[in-house]
Amino acid sequence: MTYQDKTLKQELLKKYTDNGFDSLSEKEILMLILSFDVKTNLEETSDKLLRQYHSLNSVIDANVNDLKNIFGINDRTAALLKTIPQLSKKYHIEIENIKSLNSAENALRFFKNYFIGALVEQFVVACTNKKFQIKDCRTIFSGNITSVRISHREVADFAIKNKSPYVFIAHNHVSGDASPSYDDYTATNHIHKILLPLGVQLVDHIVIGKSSCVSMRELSYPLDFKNVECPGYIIRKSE
Amino acid sequence: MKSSHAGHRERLRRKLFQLGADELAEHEVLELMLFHVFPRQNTNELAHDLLEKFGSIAGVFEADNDAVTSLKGIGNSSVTFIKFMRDLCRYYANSPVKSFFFKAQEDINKYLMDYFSYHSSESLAILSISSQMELYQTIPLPADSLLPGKDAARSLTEFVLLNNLNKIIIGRNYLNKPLIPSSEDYAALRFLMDIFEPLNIAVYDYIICNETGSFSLRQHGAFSFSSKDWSL
Repeated sequence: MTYQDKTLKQELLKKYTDNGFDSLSEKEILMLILSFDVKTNLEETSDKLLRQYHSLNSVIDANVNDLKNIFGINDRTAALLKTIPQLSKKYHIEIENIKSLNSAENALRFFKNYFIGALVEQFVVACTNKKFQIKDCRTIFSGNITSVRISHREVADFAIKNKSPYVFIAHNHVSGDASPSYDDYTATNHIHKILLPLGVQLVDHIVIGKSSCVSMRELSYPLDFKNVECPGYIIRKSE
Repeated sequence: MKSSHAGHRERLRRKLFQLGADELAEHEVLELMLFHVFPRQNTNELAHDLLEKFGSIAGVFEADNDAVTSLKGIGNSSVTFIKFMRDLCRYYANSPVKSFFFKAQEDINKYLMDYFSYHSSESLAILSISSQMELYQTIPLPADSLLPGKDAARSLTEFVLLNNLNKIIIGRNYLNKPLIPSSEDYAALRFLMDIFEPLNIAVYDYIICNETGSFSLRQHGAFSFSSKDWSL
């Protein structure tokens, strides 16, 4: 590591310990991450990365081979970057420790944490008991950045195997906001129709977008599953 | 460091790169993080000790500094690193979304000219965009990446699928050459569209830039042969 970079690293660490994480710019945060790799030129590499990816989060989500081959990031630093999304997901899930999905607010927070780090559309099913306590939660399908194909049979299979009276479904929009598409509404109605005769009730369908999230039960859009009451599930009334 | 530790670290990194962090156990993710502050130590044992003492990754991140340094081998600089990682994880999950949308052709042209102003050789850039023209990332490629051929077709397809590209704009840096598209440019555009359109990957535009301006093939009618309309 050059003398200049060693000094820069010390200055950044001091700035962090004295003034906190919020005092650092994205470039400074990235330089600190890279400073653990002694062969990297901190300023030049950070500038190049941010010019290509435009944000720190996008650098973290970048393809690992590009980070190594184009930007010369070593294995150790690339591995550190690649663990951040999973560390973040586990940290937030564990800190919030949401065990019960008894309200739309809880369901939104739970699934928002669940999708941290997701780079493709995923479809998730959570099974609960009558008190909305989570029994199992799993990603059933994984798609690409714009869509995910689902099989209603597998959703029903998961619910039945868990012997759950209640089911929540959720998926993420990798880009854009959380507004459900027409296909999202259609799929929700189909899943409700398949589950109800099996004694399984669809409580809600949560959509998590980049900067917003929605509970379909809270939306005013008419959906079949909303005709079935869900006692104890709290939703916020729209003004 | 003993070679068995080095081998273990290499295997763990390979597992991460091949399968993704989702497939790793909690102690493995923590261990990978700890490689950074303990380049020559057995971090597997340390990761287990931390999780046993503090219960979870959140527990490790939120632990009192004195409680962490009470563990053998962990000093103040390691604690600072752990707290930094905690703050970074919070930032990753909660940072404001930075969206940049191309609202007009001029936005794209200007963006590419600015981008290439840093480059001193002929090169290409692939802009990965959403269907709403939000810019996801800008990917540099060598200048000869678009020469038609079977190997090029395969490697370009792999590249696009690996990078999750859905809609793209190609920029070509002409340096100080005049902005007159060559037959090579038209051949490259045709070549790309033949590979990508059947895969539903939209090639929105092909723009050549020099120091003083830009030339969009879309604006000059080159896309009129496309079977799809990807209009702005």
